[in-house]
Amino acid sequence: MEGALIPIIVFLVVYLAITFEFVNKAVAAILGTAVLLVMGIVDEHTAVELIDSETIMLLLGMMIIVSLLRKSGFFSLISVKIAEMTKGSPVKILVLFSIITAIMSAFLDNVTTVLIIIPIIIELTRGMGLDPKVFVISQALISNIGGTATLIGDPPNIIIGSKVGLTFNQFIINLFIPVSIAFIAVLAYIWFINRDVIKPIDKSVTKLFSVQLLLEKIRFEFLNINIDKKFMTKALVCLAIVILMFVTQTVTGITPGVSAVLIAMVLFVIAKTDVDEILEEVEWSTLMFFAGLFILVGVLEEHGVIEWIAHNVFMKIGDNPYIVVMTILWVSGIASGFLDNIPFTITMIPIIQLMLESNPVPNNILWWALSLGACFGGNITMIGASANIVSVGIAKKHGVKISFLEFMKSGVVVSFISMVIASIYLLIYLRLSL
Amino acid sequence: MKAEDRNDRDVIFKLMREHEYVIGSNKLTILAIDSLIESIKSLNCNSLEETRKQLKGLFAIIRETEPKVIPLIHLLESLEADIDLGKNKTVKMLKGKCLKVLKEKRIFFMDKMVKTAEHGVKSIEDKDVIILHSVSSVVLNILIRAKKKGINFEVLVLEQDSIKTTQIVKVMQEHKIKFSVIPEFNLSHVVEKATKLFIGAIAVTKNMKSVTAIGTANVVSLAHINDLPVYLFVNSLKFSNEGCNKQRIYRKKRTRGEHVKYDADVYSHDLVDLSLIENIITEDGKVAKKKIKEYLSCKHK
Repeated sequence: MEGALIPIIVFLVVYLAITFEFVNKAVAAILGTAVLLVMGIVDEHTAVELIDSETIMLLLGMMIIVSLLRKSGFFSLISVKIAEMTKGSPVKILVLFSIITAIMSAFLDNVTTVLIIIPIIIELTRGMGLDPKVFVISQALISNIGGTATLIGDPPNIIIGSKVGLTFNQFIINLFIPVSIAFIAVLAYIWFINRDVIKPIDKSVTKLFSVQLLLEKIRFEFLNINIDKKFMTKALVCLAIVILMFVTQTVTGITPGVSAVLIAMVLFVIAKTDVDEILEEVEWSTLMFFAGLFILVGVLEEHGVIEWIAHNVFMKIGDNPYIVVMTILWVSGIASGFLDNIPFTITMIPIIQLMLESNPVPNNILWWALSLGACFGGNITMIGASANIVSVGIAKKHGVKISFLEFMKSGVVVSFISMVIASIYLLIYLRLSL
Repeated sequence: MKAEDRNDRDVIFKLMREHEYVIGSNKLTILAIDSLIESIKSLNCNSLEETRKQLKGLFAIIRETEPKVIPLIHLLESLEADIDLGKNKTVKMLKGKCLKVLKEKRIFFMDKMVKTAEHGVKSIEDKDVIILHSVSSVVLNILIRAKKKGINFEVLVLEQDSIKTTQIVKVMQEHKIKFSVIPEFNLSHVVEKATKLFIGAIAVTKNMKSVTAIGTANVVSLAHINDLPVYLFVNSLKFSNEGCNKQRIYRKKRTRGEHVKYDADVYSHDLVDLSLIENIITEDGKVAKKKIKEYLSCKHK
């Protein structure tokens, strides 16, 4: 671990800055990188090589496709249709919106999903005189659970899949079961603790009447945009093609990142839209954040820090695969609840790779443990996942204030339920694999 | 009143007010009838007594909205008389009768709107420059009909908030009606170019005032000073046998300002004296002012 002191200090300072939001996290990550460059710890060519371009391309490509789809009005249309289907019933609002949130989170990113769902769910529930908090928190939690199911659903999965070489199909095949069970269990829990509020309204003509007025208001507010059907069709077809390309990765040999960027550019050409306007919506700070973190962790790896942590911390737990898997799951889960799960995941990948060299665990179970832990654990607190922060932020803009403790009250239990389900699943999977 | 019931009532008041602001009282009346139809269809209540009680309760809330939606109140009064809540023997009968009568009332009201619009078209001549203020569906309907008839006229849209103005501009563009937009507060610069001012109202009260969209009173005053004829298009169901103090016009204290804060009393609607309005058009055509009392006493339906 020669010469590792400076990279360790820089990394810790950056991590603290991100956790306590001293500065914008992209600025923190790139500033940390700049310090390493200035001090000659790493040169610029090596720094660029440390950036996982597959992850960046996948994120960039999907951001563009999603942005174009949003511009077409597709999401507004879906949200209003779902709102109409609920007919104002709080039970149906919870169930139908949770299903759509989970599916959208699995195939788009969680932040986009909550950006679309939260405003309409606030409008719907507040308009009926219900407290929107319950519904806002539930959708944030569900988006993290749903996003766990696929390669592209959650940032930790994108990082794991790209760095480790796991395919879109492998994620779905291995994670669909625990995610589905966790979804049902969490939904049942949310309904149970809020059953006084989340109850049918069809016994009250007054509530039914106000729901009709409310749905009309929602139709007006959310569909007051020009829906270009041709544009929407093109965007949807491209989304379908990119997912098909993910599914057929092993046949075509085209990685998800390449697929995403290719289809995004094709969509730009066929949609004939304002490119600059769409590019403005790309979260460049998120991409910079990822790039900076890859460099920081890569430098730690080059200086032997990761190897030291792997040998002196994680490998000390022994070689019992059951204990190793549970440790990765629960450490990832708890850490993700309080720290940003993206830098945590990036840091854990080389550690797990080293662990697997000396103590192989079959069927990529350690990676599934990391994925489930990082994603489910992100629900513990408001700061555990980007979707949580964004949901609370949108709610605040709409006059719905959710405190850290209020979120955590639901988040801790929901995370615990989903982590227990993940534990049982992984233990059975491991048992069957050995 | 239980807290939950008060909450439900306040929700309905707010939603009705918000809709009226954006779509006007005629469309709101239709929307309310459609919403009543859907909610009665969806109601899952096995007790006849409970169903009656609920319907009465809902009708009572609708009668007390802020402001009162007079045409809707008149329709509900005649609905209650027609269905005679006490006479029906089963829930199915009661619901069936309600739905049947509501659909009839809807047709009845639409018919009045259409007839008002048909008479309204006669108020437009070639080369007219019509000032348009509120989002009145009858007024917009009149303009669309006049355009289809080939009458050559132009509209001056008074810009209010973006929601209302966008609504009006959309209609103008869709039907290729020649128009221009000017902020409401700049009317003094163009009022001499105009030939007519068209307005709608949510109600005409017993003390000879019309309850109109905010800003209408100022616009009508300026028009009156400049001898610009004002046309009010209302169907007979909008005539109320109560004074304007009974219209439950919504009033709220709003805090304004960023660095220097102050409170402002804001009312949801204006009151315009009928003496400032030269022409009142209903489904029966132009109504002479001496005949208004008949409408106000609700003899004319």
